[in-house]
Amino acid sequence: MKTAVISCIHANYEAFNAVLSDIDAQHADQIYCLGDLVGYGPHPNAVVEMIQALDIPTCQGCWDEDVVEGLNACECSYPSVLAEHRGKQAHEWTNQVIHPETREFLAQLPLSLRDENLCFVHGSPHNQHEYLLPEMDDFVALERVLATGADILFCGHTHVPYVRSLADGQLQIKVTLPQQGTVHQTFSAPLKRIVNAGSVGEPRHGRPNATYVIYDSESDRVTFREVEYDYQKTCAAIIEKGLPAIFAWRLAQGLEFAERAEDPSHICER
Amino acid sequence: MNTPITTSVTTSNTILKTTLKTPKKIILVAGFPGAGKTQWIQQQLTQQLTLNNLTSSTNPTNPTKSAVYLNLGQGVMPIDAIYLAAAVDNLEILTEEQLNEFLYHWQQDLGQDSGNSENSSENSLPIDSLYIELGFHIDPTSLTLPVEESLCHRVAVVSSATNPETNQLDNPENNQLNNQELWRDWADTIVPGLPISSVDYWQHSQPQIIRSILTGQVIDGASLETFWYELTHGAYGEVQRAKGIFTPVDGRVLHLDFVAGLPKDIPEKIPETITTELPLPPCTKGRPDQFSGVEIIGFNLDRAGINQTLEDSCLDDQAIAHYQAQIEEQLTQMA
Amino acid sequence: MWAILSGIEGNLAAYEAVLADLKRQRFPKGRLTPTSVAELYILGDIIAANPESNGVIQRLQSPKVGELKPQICQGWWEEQLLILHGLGKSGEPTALIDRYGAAMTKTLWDAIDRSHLSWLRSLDFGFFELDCLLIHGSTMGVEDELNPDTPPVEMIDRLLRMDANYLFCGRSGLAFQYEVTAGSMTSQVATLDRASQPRTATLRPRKIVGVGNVGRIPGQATYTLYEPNIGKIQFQTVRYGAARGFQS
Repeated sequence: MKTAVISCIHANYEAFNAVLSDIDAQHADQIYCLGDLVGYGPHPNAVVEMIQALDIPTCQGCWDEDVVEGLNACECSYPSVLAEHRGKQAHEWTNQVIHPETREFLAQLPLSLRDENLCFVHGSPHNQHEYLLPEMDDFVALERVLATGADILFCGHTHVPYVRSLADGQLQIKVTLPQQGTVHQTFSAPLKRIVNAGSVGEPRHGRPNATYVIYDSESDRVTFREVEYDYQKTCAAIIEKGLPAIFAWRLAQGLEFAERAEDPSHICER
Repeated sequence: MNTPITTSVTTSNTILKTTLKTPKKIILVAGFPGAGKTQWIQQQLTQQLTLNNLTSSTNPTNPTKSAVYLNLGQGVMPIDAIYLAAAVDNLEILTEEQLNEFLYHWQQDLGQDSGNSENSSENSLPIDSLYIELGFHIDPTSLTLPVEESLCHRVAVVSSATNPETNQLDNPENNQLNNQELWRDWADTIVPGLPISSVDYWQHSQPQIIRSILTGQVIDGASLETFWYELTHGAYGEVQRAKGIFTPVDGRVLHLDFVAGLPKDIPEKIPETITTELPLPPCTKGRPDQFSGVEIIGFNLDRAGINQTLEDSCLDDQAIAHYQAQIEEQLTQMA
Repeated sequence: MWAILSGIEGNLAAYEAVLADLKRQRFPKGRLTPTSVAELYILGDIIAANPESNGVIQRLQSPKVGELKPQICQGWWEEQLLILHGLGKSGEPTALIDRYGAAMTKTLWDAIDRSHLSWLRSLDFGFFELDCLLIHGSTMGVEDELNPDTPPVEMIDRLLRMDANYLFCGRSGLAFQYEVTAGSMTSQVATLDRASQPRTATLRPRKIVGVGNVGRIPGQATYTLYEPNIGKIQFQTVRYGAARGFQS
């Protein structure tokens, strides 16, 4: 069974279309989406309509939540005052153009999805805003996967794909209770993986191409997919529709538009 | 009659004879943007100062100005002047408006000095040179100063990029500003500056200049980094040259200097942007009086985009007050 | 040495008994010694839904001469009270109602004098001293109950969030020492442009300590003594009232 996992489309319809074609060409059997359907990009309603039309199971991303609740994104993700300005502009723009039915759809998205031993979340199992960065502590990463009870945790939110394998986990524990003495325990964890699906619509790996992943349960392998598309069309739409024009340039460079996934030790308290 | 003491001061690629008690000179410095005019002037001034300090007995607590600098064409952007004034001691800065009057008095002093050269006090530091840096948009051949020709020394700073095969300066024929022949007609001395690969500026069209004054604005440091990265990587057009003075909330005064076209694949790679913290008094409360602003030279520049980004990068009064209070608290705790 | 308490829960007599016990610890044989208790931490739940809690608050606010000034952080009960008064992080006292029923909202509201709200609100969420995190639940929140049955990776996660070697907590009300003595794992990260080499990750020993509970069980208070220099942890049980036996 081949499962395509996509994330962070961010209203980039051109990229989304190209990725769907690629998923088709790769003969994936099913698709899961990790949220952030809207925000930053010029075609939020079209993206959501397509998700609905194809009935792609999707979990709610932080931007989806923000649009529903009328909040702003986790402000700690804005690395500068400039980024915060731009993010707020994108938020206001999206808020204005979103159709009511789009908002309703985003509101009913679940926080996580499960398919046998696979778990799908936007940020982390605990929080839509938490970044699971590849350099975060291995034991903390292990806790995140174990918290779901799954073998593979699929996440997005950082916009840079990776596959992290955590193997041969061993812990020695000593528990002492007063008047009861000490008990020694050994705990082992089987192989667990965290798979970040990157971003379809706002790539941050230095190139404008869309990224997603395919998991093949037969071979138990994860493949990265990087899909070229006519990003200039998205750039033109960004400018034409009145989003901050700088987003067009940043998309072409494969840079974050405003929020940046930094600081693996930062735990967003929102 | 006084025999002038001649010393030779060797800079990186040029020899400029300086003399104490020598007749004063006006040194005109021209060259295309980013060639290194200001840098060369700074070198000269610093060496002059060192020489003066070694041989003079002037009271160091009350030094007279030893050199004068004027940037012709800076308009409302005294970035180079502020930079040099902060970097070089005892430098007097002139504005364009002050030039004529200054030259008049200067010539008068010269007349007196040549008559009294035997009696010139060894204690006085003569103002040795007036450095006039010519903005790239000023045609040096059209400039005439109301002083004797013999008092002027013309220096052209050109790119030192060499063709690896011929070891000659790169494309001298194509690039008008780097045209050795052109400079030979005008310049008394040709100085190799930064190794910028020749760019056919003038084949496109006249480059644009954008000047934004930011005096009184407090810029967010991280935003400045993002803006400068975008600016120097083509987000707002093809930028050849950019320099600015910025005042972030921690009170520092930052000078940023960018030149496009530096070679990237040489061992002693020269950074495209050099950031210098100027030794100027910090502003720790409220908005700074210090001049700040940015000058950008290039093609197809997006003025609206640049101005919008600068605006979005600056802090409002509330934020300024908040961060300044935070910084003050941190400093108190550290003390 | 540090004395670390939790869960006075409005039981003033229990707290007084602990203070008396602390006095003995502070001045063994009548002297202040280098190993005497120098710091007093109280990890939340100083109140519960009883009016005696007001007395505890006042007692904490005004330590007597010669007593240590307690460092107090917020606990579960404090947070429920603040939520009731619209001063908390969340809007509804759902945790309170889920655990004790809707009637408890009134009981708690009536029990605690409004004049204490601003003081309770001003309490820290936790403390980080040397390499120790001292907090009611964990940095996840006051409701995060760490106990000997908590899965090991979760315990490690709570420690690693603050990179603490020790985490002192009081949510469970239990006294326990949960030590992660060693840990290892092989990890590998592959990105778009490269696959990294496997590397071994290891854990250094770290500990979570449940500091016990002072006021919940009538006649018996438990608290913790900790010597940071040598990492020694000692649980103290103090009996008071009718059941206290021969203690003075």
